Amino acid sequence: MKTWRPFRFSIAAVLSVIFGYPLLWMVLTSFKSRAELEASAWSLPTRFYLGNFRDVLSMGHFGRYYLNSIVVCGVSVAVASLAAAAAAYAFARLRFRGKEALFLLLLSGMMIPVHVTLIPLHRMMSSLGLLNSPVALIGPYIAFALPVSTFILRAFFESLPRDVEDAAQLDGCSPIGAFWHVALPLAAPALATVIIFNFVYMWNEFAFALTLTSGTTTTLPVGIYEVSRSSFSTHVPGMTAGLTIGVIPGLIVYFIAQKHIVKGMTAGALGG
Amino acid sequence: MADVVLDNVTKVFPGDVLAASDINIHVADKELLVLVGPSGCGKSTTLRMVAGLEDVTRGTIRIGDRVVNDIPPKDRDIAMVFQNYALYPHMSVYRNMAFGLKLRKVPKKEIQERVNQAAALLGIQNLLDRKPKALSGGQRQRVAVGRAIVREPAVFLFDEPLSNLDAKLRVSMRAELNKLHNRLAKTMIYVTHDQVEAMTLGDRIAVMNEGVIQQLASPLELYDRPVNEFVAGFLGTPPMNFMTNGRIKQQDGKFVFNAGAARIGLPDWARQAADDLPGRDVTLGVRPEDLSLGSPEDGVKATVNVVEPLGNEMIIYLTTDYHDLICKAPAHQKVAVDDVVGLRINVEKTHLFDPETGQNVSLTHRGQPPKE
Repeated sequence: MKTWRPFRFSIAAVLSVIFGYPLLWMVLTSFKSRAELEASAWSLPTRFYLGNFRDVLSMGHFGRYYLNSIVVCGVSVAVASLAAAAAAYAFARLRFRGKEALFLLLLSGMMIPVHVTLIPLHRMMSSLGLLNSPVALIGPYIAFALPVSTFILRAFFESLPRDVEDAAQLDGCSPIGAFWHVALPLAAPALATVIIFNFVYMWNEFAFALTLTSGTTTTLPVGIYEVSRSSFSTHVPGMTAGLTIGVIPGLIVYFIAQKHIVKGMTAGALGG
Repeated sequence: MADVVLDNVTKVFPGDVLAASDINIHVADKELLVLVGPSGCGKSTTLRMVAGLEDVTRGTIRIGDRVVNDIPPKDRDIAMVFQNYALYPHMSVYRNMAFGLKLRKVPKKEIQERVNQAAALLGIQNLLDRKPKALSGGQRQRVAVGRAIVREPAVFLFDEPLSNLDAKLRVSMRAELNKLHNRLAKTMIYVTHDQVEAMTLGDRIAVMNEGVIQQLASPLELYDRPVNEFVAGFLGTPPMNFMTNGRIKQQDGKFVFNAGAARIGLPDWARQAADDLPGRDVTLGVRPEDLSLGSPEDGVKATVNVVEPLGNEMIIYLTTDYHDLICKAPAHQKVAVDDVVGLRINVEKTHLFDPETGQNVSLTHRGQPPKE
């Protein structure tokens, strides 16, 4: 095993450069002036120039897009994760007729390509008067997040020791109480995975946002696209500043959630 | 007053798997009843039905004055200690113990008092702020017991609570549970597959096999008067020896058990037992402690295969021309592997079993034991 170690470290180092360098370049470039970038694209910034961030934030409705993204993603992630957890728990623990068929039906949602739903959804939202509102995005985001989230969470709930929930029921919980007080906190690792997964998908989602919202009601990806088409098309440091601001929430969610993805969350619950 | 009555209780799982069949038990108030049997015998299922964690297919369960078949677990006034402890890993020991009381809206001050009292009783006061993962197996088991005690339930259920502990800890926890039962004076049902736990803890023991109660009696009654081969073989370490394919014959006015070269004279009660099984094979059961070693001319001739010195006694594995037998001998018995010895049998303590039904046919003919 030890002889493999240098090899494994080398692979890890190469991968971290491949994945990390573009991000690092983006952040470093956002602190360079346009002149500095033209002079030396790959060097470190000589000083931390904040003008690009000022330009971006004063440009168009960048702040508004940002807020829209936070609202839409926050609500969608919260509702989708909670609804998926409840559904997954029911599929994992309850016995009812047609359970597996219903689960397969839910999973079949994963096979529907997002793009074939764009026009029907546009027409539906239009007739409901919901176009250009956060709800136009929140609904589809939740619907598309549910199948895979339920799938991940069901597998996790099935791996949890049933005795702990039985103990909660004897302690005075109803089945829903056992879910809320015991199963859900124990599912933190899987929930964190689902939250990160959904947040990254929703934060970067472009097709729905472009189709169902416009102007000041749209979200950051479409906002950045709009900005990049305008005067910023040649302002590379300005664009990287916008992107840097854009990735910050994703990183925050990841760092908050990833600490829950630790092995041995259930350590101590059971003997042996 | 909280007796527990199981009346013809049956559990059938999907796929027609019969887990428990017509279980009839009356656990008296303040009694500790042990359900014992091998894995898959239905003992845990029976306990879970009492807890309300499994539905009853047929029959009724009564706790105190109430039939509880349709009452959810939380309203049955019971507490359960699980084999795997089932502590809430995200809560501290204090919160684990207080959880049930909090759900029942017990005032905060009283919760504190009751948790502290139970913690003092179990010697875990210094662990109250820890999470379960920071506890040893024995400590977790105490917390699990503490969580049950604070609720002050009418009935305690224990589902193999000592199985995950090491041998030494198991012995000390067993003694503590015994003390706890005397101190709390509550009705308890205890499930185990360990016959030593069953014998040492139970006021009465129900031996189960394949979903059926084989015998329900006091520990000594079970040991001395097993109703069938299963009970006789299940209780006792090493287990009872069964000398199979023998015949009872009359020789010189006495009844003798013949199997291979073995000729074992039986007491008078064998006469009636032999009458019950005319001309048929019988199985003679004899416990290892009722065998002793003598010279080859004296008793049933056997060859020593293995000698296990345990310090306080020896376990000796032997072979006759017909059977493999185990004998418990004094610690300093002079014996070695390949020795040929004569086995003396305390015939008063032997049992005769019908090989077809497994029933102990000698019980009815040897009189009742003195009342305890």
